Amino acid sequence: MATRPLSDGGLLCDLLGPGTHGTTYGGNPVSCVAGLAVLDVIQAENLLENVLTMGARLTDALRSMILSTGLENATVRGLGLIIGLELPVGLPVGFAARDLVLALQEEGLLVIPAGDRVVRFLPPLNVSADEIDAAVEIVRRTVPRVYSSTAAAQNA
Amino acid sequence: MLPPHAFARNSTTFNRSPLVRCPLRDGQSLHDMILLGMDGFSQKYERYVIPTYGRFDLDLVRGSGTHVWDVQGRDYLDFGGGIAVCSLGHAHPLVTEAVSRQAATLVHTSNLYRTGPQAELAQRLVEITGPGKVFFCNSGAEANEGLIKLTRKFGSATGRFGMITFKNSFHGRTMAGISATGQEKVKLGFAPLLKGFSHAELGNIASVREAMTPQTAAVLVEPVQGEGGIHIGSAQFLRELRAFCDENDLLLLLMRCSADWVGPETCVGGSPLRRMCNLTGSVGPKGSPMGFRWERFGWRRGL
Repeated sequence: MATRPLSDGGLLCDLLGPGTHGTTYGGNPVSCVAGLAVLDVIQAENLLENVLTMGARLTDALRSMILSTGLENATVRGLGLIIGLELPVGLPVGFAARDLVLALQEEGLLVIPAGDRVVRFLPPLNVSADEIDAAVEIVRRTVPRVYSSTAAAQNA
Repeated sequence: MLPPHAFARNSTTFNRSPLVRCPLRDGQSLHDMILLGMDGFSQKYERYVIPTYGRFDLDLVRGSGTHVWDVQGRDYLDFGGGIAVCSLGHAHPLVTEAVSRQAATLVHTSNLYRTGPQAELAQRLVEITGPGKVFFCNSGAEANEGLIKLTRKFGSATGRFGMITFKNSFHGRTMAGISATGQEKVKLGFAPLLKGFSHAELGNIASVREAMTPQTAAVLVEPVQGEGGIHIGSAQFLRELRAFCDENDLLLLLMRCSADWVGPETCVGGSPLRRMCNLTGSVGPKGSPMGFRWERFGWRRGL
């Protein structure tokens, strides 16, 4: 590892020296012990393994949900447990991402919209298989209901 | 007044949904529960909180693991995670214990002084992420802001200040952050913005070359665009970016969110990004609501 990368011979990570930048609360002891505890648990419980397993479980389940609910043009993409359900273009009015998020919330599942067409699933890294299945079941029974009611309203 | 256990037995008042009720917390009085349950928080938010968010009509009072409960005791599965912040879900007992103990010991000193937890966490993060140092801040926006300042400082030696970012990116709501963000909606009404930002297309190295100017000093990329709709930069694209930055003496800055902090390898699905890409900076809250920025010793491949 070279240690003289900058033209003046200094380290990049020392470039912002004393007086150049600051923040009053950053790195406070309470936040830092929380961070250490989170690291301890993630490493002790090998949660990255869980992220890959549960991410695949959620992605696969959402993909089969799409096929079984008439949303064939929707897509699911993600990495680990950052997963997006993209609704197809040309949606019926009232079936934007935010509408679906609201309907899922009514049914007991909190997810987050990103723009008009993407619903984000961002569960904790220690999410269980049962919780993944329960969430997908809520999506499975909510999506067709919202889709058919909004499509019917549009056609009426 | 009735004791709490009386409420716990006769809780139909708050059982408006068929879902599981929020268990009465130790020490929580009936009075507290009634106050919460009467009208939630919406009136006070409307009256006293500046309305910058398009909030959902939902008042949350408690969380445990993947579950949160609203004022009426309805149980929700939380697959939002506070926007990918709560890595261990809500109220993990080990986090609660650590925070409680520290809160009774030393809460805040400012950064004019050293404290043990910051030293320990800095070491752990560097050991996990790679040789370098970290700066602790309060949010991803602040971490982005720091990388933009780093770019300015880095470029000042050669008269450069520009930064290439990506369409659909999101770099926070500060002035530098919205200037860097590749979405028009965050910029409306806030002109003039900071100079020097151009936006390329994620996954398209030719568009990065086109966005390059003589002033460009850095490329800032989210390997996974979250706010922009979950768009993923491939390992191949990130390697191309690494090579492009090496060729042109640019910093390569990665903005990463909480779910991928554990190691650079994980942020592109197991590809050897750390060895290939030699990250020069990364940001992200990491499982508790805080932010940090990590900067490598060197800034080019092999340094």
